[in-house]
Amino acid sequence: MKLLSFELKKIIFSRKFLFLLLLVFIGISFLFIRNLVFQEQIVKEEQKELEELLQANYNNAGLHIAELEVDPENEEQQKLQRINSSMINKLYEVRNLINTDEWKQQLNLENQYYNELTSYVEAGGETTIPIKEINYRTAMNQKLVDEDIMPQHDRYSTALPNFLKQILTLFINAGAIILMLLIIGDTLSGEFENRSVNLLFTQPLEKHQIIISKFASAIITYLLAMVGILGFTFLLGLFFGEKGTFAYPVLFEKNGAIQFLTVKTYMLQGLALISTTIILVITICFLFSLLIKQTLATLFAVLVTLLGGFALWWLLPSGVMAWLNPFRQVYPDNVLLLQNEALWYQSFPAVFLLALLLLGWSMHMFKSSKQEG
Amino acid sequence: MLTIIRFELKKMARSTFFRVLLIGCLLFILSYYIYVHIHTLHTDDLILENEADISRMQSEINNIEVAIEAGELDAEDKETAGNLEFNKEDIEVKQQEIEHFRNGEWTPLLNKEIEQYEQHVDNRIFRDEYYSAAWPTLVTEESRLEYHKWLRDKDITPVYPIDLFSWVTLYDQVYEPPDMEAFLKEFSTKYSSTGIYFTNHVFTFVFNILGACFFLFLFGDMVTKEGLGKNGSIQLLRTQPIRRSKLFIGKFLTILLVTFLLLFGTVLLSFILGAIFDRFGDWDYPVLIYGEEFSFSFMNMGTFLLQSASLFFLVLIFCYSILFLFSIITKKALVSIGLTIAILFAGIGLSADSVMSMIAPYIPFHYFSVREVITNELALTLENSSFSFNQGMIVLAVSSLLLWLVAYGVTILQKRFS
Amino acid sequence: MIVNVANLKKRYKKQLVLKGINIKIESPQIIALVGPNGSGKTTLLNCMTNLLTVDEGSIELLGKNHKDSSLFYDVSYLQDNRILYGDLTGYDHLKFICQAQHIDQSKIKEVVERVGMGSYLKKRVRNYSLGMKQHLLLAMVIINEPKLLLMDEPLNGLDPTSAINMRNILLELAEIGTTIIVSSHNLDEIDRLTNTIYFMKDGALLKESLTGLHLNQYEVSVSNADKAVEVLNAKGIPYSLAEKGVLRFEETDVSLQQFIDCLNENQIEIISIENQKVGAEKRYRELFEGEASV
Repeated sequence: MKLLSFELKKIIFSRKFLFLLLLVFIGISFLFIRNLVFQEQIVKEEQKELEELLQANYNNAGLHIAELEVDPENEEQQKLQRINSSMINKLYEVRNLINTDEWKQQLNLENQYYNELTSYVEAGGETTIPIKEINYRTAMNQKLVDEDIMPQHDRYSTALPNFLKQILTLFINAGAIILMLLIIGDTLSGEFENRSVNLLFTQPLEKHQIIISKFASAIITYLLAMVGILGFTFLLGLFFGEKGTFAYPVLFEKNGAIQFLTVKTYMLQGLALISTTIILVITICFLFSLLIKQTLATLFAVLVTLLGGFALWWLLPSGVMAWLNPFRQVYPDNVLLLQNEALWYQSFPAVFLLALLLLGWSMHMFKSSKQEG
Repeated sequence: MLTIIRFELKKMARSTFFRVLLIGCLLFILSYYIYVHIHTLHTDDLILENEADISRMQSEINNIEVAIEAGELDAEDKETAGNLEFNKEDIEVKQQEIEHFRNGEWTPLLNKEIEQYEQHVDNRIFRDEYYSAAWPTLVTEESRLEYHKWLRDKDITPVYPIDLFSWVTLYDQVYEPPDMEAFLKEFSTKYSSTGIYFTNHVFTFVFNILGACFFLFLFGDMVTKEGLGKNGSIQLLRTQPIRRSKLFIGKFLTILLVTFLLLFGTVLLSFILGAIFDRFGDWDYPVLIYGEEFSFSFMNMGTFLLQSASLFFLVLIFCYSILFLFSIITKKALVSIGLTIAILFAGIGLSADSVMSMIAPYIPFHYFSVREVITNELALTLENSSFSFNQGMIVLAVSSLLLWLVAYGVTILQKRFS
Repeated sequence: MIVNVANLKKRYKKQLVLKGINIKIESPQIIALVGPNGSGKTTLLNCMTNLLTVDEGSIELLGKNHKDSSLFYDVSYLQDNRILYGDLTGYDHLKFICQAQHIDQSKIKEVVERVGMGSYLKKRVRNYSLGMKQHLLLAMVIINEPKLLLMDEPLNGLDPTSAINMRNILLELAEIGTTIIVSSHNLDEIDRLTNTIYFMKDGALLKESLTGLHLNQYEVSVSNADKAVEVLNAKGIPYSLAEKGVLRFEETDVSLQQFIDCLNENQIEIISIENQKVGAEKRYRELFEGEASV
């Protein structure tokens, strides 16, 4: 405990930690301001997409007319032309509803359009939107209508839950790992580089205590950073954003079918995934620090291990492998949104086991570790 | 200045971390060459493939003949006769191909592909089928045809496979059935272990954000390890009759020199590996460059490699400039390199958001995917024709210069407040 | 036994840097470790505190094996200032040591006053000067009132006042029974601290007690050397000529007083008398420079 408070102080009162946290806060504020500024962009984007769809439909109409001129009795072409004209009408109706309060009607119309597009493809027509994407959009629209939740833009939302999710997505996917490596990357290797480890070695302390305190302080630091970042984002959204709802649906694939979880669940599961991964990252970092005793090289080795582990396991089939793969959670979005062969929590045991193993190994190494040279 | 560069080079060469990374780099290139060599369809492989086809067809013919003899099939039957005829003709074709493979005669083989599709493509152009997004789109078929013509006219050994399934373009967005996509993507990834083409493989693999990160690590503590602001060894340099700005510029020039040497070494090694284990390759090998309004052209692979290397070099200069700026501000290797990498990722992520806006081509982060810039894939996907090699070179150079100005401002401020 | 180092050998990259060191200290005292750069002083201290592995030999401090970390309740080691954490304050460091060694934190105030670092105790160490860091290091090693105190170059960066202060603290500690082994290049300061000097040379130890060495040798400068020589020869008093006008006399059967009386009786004026006690510097020169010039 005495060591823990000392270790914690070293990290938390360092200029680096405060400086980085400040930078992150600035970044979050910047994103929020961007979202505010880009509200108009949303409408423009929607209009542009609509124009593109219309253009594609008109092109198709041209083709059908040309075909029918050659063979006016061609039933397939007649059918396609019929569906196509109906689709064009739908698009015009949608266009009138953009930027109005009639969002439900707009979503329903969009879905009708997508349904027609599907039958159009089935009847032999061509589409610029892949079928999978059509299914995704239809399901999402339907879900929003069913739950009576106003749609939010994927990137430029200022609603508290959606903005929080946006920041959290950045945090859990690489953000937290990079931040933690920056904050605690030199907590052990730096001691060897600066020789300050000799101060610890000349105190009546058990060596395993030193590693455990460092480990615990790294985790507390992570929790503090996480709470700080999410708290700041929450306050920003609360005071300057819209209310929104934490029941907002997030679409994911499970065994090939489309399913939904709420923003709240997404955030909780995402945090669970990244927090366990961070434990692993800390232990990997400790082990390499003891092996290499140089910060930059340690950081490089940790990143290569994480990337390599992720890539290597990613190449292997998932399913059963997910139970054995401690690096699967390095990019939690994949784990959460693509649960086709493995469930989101499936890699927890592997992560914990490896982390424990590495921590034990680090403690063993630290026992005989010296500041040579 | 030369003194500083020499001194820095010596320090670098003595650093274990630097040496380990270099050895890692070397091992990577060697093992990647082995990988590419294994995946290359060499003439022998092509001959073997054809021979296997021939024996398969031969056994089919035998089966039919046995069945006829046994009275199960009627030799006069149209289908049976057709089958026999078809297989026999095919065997002949395959044998001819083997002959061409053996003699290295690529023109007739390319001609066959060209003749097979020329009329079809002309028809599609006539019907103006450009707006279809289903594979194979018109651009795909047209560009494949032109690619083969380029190869034939310039008498270049094609990289196999060369059939219909080995060519996709950005315009192919819809695949029917959807599984086809993965198959086509895999099939159209062609490997060649010739010197030039292997260099292209290496560049494709390395010239991206991860490659940039590798170089950043290589030089990550160049400024900070001297203990900026503390009683570090930078005091040694600063107590010599050398201006501080000269010191930083000296370090920067050293990094540029080493980077250049590394890139040059990589190219040289790739060429040598190719030349020894395969052949040097064709400087003129065509690389598809997208144009506006469904147009396209081809570029020499040699020129393409040169442009890629130049653009990536500027990307690195830009990265180093960020690193130097952070090194001067934070004075810590870990923080400066971490922040640089974070800025790069955030920059790339955020700039993807603002692609709609007018300033997108002026954002340096867009140019990190060097290959996509030069082939105009970026211009096509972001629907902005301002993205180009030249634009990238200018934007990256100007951004780096601006960063240096900021760094200069920071050092002046630091001096004033220290 | 306070310190028992037996046949200690340490290699660094195949080179033997400690060549079988033997030290036995049975009673509390101050011992100075003196030697040129690279002679192995710091390596010896680091080996003793288990900061470096030992290749051969054994070390016991206060009757315990040197690898026993509980030793550090009673053993302190003043190292170079790189062990300090720049982001923490001096107070943080002292508090940590109190917690690690179960010392009452009220000791902090006492030791801070004693060392004289009150004004900058709450400042971050990165802003300390060399001397301030040395003060902090001193406070950190004496706060536990150790039985054995090892010090590596404690005088680095100290101004004369601080150096005197440190000397006084060490002498006080020695008085209450602390054994101190101190390595230093400041030979004058060592002379003031102790007479027991361990000279180190190429990884080997040369123990010297300067107490008594040349203690009763005097150089006497006189007005009339020729007459003095005559008189001393006549009386049979042993002497030698150091230089012109200077006689070297060593107290043996004849006391210094008898020697002076003899000269006075013969009206030979004594200009000065200098005791030739050998200091650390002189002995250091004899040991190292003589060889260097060979």
